[in-house]
Amino acid sequence: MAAAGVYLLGLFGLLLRVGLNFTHLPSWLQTQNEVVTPLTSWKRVEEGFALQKQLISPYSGDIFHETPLALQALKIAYYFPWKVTGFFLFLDLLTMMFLYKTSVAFVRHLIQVQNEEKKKYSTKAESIILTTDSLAWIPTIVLACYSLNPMSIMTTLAMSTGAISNLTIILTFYYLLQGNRLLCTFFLSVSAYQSLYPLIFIVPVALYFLKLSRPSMPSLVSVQAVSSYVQTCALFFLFSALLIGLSFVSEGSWEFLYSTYGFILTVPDLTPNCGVFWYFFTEMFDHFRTFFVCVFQLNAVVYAVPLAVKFSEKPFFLMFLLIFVTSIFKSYPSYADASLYFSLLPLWKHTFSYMRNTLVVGGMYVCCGVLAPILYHLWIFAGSANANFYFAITLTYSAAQIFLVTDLLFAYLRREYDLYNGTEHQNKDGSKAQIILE
Amino acid sequence: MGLLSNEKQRNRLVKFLQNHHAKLSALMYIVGLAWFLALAYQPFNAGTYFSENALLPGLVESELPHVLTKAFNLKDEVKAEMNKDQKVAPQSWIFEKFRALGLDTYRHNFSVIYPFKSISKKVVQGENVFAILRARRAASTEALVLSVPLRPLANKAKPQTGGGIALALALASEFKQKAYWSKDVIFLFTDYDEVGTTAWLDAYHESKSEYIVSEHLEGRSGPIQAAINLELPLEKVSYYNLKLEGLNGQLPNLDLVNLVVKLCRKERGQVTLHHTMEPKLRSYYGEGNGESFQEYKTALTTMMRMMWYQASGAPSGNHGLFHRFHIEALTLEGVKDKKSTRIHDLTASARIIEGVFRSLNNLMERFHQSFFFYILPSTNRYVSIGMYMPPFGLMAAAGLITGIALWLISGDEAAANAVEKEKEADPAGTSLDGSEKSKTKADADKSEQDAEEEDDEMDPISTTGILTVIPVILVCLLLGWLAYQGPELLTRIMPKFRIHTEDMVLYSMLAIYTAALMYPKLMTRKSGNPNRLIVDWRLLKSIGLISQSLALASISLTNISQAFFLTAFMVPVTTFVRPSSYRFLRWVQMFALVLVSPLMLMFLVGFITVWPQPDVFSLFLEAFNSTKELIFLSVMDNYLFNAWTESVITAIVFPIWLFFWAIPWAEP
Repeated sequence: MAAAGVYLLGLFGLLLRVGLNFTHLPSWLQTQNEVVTPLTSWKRVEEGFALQKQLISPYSGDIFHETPLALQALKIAYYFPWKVTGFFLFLDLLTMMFLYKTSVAFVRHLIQVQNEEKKKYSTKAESIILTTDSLAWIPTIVLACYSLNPMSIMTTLAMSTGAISNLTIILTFYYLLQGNRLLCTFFLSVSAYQSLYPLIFIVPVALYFLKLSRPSMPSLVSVQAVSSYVQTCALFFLFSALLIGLSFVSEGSWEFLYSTYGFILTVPDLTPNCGVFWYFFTEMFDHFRTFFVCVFQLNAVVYAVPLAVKFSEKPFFLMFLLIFVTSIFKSYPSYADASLYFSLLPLWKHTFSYMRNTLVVGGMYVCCGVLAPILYHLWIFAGSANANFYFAITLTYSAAQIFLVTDLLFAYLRREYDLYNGTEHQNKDGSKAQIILE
Repeated sequence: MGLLSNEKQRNRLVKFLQNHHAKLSALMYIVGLAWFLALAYQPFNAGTYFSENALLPGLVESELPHVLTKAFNLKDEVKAEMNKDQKVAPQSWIFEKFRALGLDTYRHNFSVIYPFKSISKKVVQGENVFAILRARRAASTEALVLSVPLRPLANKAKPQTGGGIALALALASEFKQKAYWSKDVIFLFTDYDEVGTTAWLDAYHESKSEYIVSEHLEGRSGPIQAAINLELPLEKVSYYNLKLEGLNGQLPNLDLVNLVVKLCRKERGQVTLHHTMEPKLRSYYGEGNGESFQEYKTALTTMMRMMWYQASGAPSGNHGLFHRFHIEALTLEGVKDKKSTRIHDLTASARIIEGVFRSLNNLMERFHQSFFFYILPSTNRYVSIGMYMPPFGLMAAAGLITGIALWLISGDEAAANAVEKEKEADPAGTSLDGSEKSKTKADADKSEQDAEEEDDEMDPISTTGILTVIPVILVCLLLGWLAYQGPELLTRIMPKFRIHTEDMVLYSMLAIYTAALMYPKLMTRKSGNPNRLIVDWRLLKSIGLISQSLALASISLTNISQAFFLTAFMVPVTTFVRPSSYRFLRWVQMFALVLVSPLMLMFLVGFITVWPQPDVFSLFLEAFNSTKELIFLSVMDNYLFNAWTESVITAIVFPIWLFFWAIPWAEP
């Protein structure tokens, strides 16, 4: 039953995208800064092709920021039926397939982990113990969250190359679940090569492969552990070096490094988007700029450390949190990043009943989605509003994302607590107690 | 953040909301409405002032002669020229005149394609004339526009603008002799009012419109900083009237309005907003007057008139199209009133315009100070966005509060149902040992706390869950889309009928509307009771109210007046509608809902437009005709000028209203 539903969902999602392609939406979305960033705009890719055709280095200007291999690889888009549109539809199809596979594997993994740890659970926690039945719908929901999610639909319609990064991250996730170290590190290095920030996903990946190789749980800093980390990292760096080396061969110079990673790290393009960088750095005096760029970039990745300490036993949740956090704090975020974490979010559906702010957060997301284009219009075209109006909305959007991720984090921990302590909590006098996070 | 993390406080708030949301909503609505209307009362608003200091120097002294003889001679010439052929406007004459003055003068042709192609393939040709006075001290980097609509004498529907032509010519020859111009002055004469203006602006900014095709401009200047549109008759005028409202409710910067008002006052001209005579000027000088009821009534009338025009989203004059290109513009209209004793001749008008342009000439940068979002209760008082948003927010939040409360309640009910079901499934007493029992209870408690988290996927089989609501919402959205596309689709499908396009549009709207009214009836089939719709009305209503609040908030950002009127009419009905088992109550609610439905609101607008009529029958007839025209015009505005009103009403307000239409049909 689920299978037919899944195919229908996928098909419906694709048809929806095809249908919407015939409206005015795609051309409008391609100009929306929340959907397309300088890093992911297809127009810039075309510019890169054109420059290359003229035998000018695409990296000599300030337009093109894709990686050299992407520049070569993306040319296949023109050989698809319906050209580029067809290519992005195909990417979507791939994404959906791997999302489904990932979620099926993940459900299996959840049950397996639970069986291993069941002995340690409290006897009073039976009501929240997972069963195959209660998880049966998760793959379908995950697929629905991708195929029907307005954000991912917008990403496809706008032909944002963020879809490629999303696919590589999902592939990393998938092969991590499969325990395939070679492919996992390969896709991780591809996604890091594409958009740099996935670099920090090496933390959960290394932790998980350690867990796989030593099921008896050695200490995280023992010699074996370190050698496992080194193996994973070595593979990753090998692949990365290979990719960058190939880029150098194809490009013939190192110029691309500044235009891609330099562009991500130093944030020279302050076009308004849904992130936190642009407003802050338009207001910034130049001599503080370097310092604050460092601070902001650190902010995007530094959470890897405390989260890794807390969730060293739960590498998948850690990976998801890192995906979420980087997509909030990266220098050029867009709805493409949001669509990735939204489609993976239902994997943690068993913790949703512990979440407390869904109405507030949901309301914030919807408000931002509706108001952002209106305020942008009022600011840029009508000239009656100003930058602060739009900034207020992007700030709200970031806040909504942070609320959601902290809420999920809290819910996850709260459920863990209940698993080990039972769902019923009593004060010493026997009255019902309430768990408060302090 | 305490509210987000502390459960106890939250629960208290949730309880409070669930128990008192109706009272709270009513209170908020009433307070909000009263507060909004009170904004017209002088102590609650503020006096206008200049934010942009660069504008002030122009207020010093006019360099025009005491009697501008040129203007009077030109006036006679214009009169003679226009009488030659009453059906055409004197484009060629104007062209020759400006050319003789030595200005860069150009003609600009455009054609309008009739949007409903299947009905008529009519193409209307038009011609604008414009002349550019090149500034001596700058390289045409900035420009100001003086625009005058051309209206042939035969066109009796709108007041004449011959005085404006004479004045523009006279001023052009005066301006030409001055050395102080640092911005080009463009004298623009537009054919077919707004259409000609749109064509010219499109050509100037090289943007394209689907239905107005315009020729390439042969000459242009720099970015336009400001524009004044003049509608002056050939006769002497008694007072000046300001028109501000632009396309989609956009307004010019308040500094420009202040400037024009101040200069009119300086020339001892009376200036009004929408023809509301203001009492004395005393209050202008801050003597604490304007607090009497009589003055409040006048101020409220002015404010309501302004909001009325703004709410339509249609431009109230040619200036309205300039706003689309981020150009501050307004219309100054000279009005002849037989009752009034005041008389201003062309010289007075010329001095006002000269003052305005010289002030604008001093501008260093684009208008960016002062306010863009405001409402004017008189020409010298203003209500800014910071003052009107709180009361508006209160009114709109009245619906939101109930929406959230209903969401919480319906979540609770779903949780309670789930518990019931669980109990039923468990044969009573067989396995209910102590821990099991407490488990169920704990589960219920927990899910009660997390009631609002009941997600889409939580309960797929229940009769109250989200699944009963989704079909209704989809049907409503589909109907909204039909209403949005309707006129065009229908006129494309049925070209054979020989009826006017106006009728066609109206009847197609009516057809979709009546079809939409029947949708709850059509969806009841599968349920047992043929007159009842099986739908979780609380959830539907809460979704409806939340999306209504969001829609109103979005509209209020672009067009506060439209949002205000929609809120004032819709919110009280939509907040308090609920299913009832009493037939009478159901009918009352349905009647109230129909009354605030978009089409009836349109009819109401038509009604108010034609209000004083001799008898009831002609009142309704006129109202019907005016509604027809109104709908047609809003559709045309959408096509020609990209006005949003029609889209907003059909694609957003209408489907949201349809959500509520299902509620009286639901099982209580």
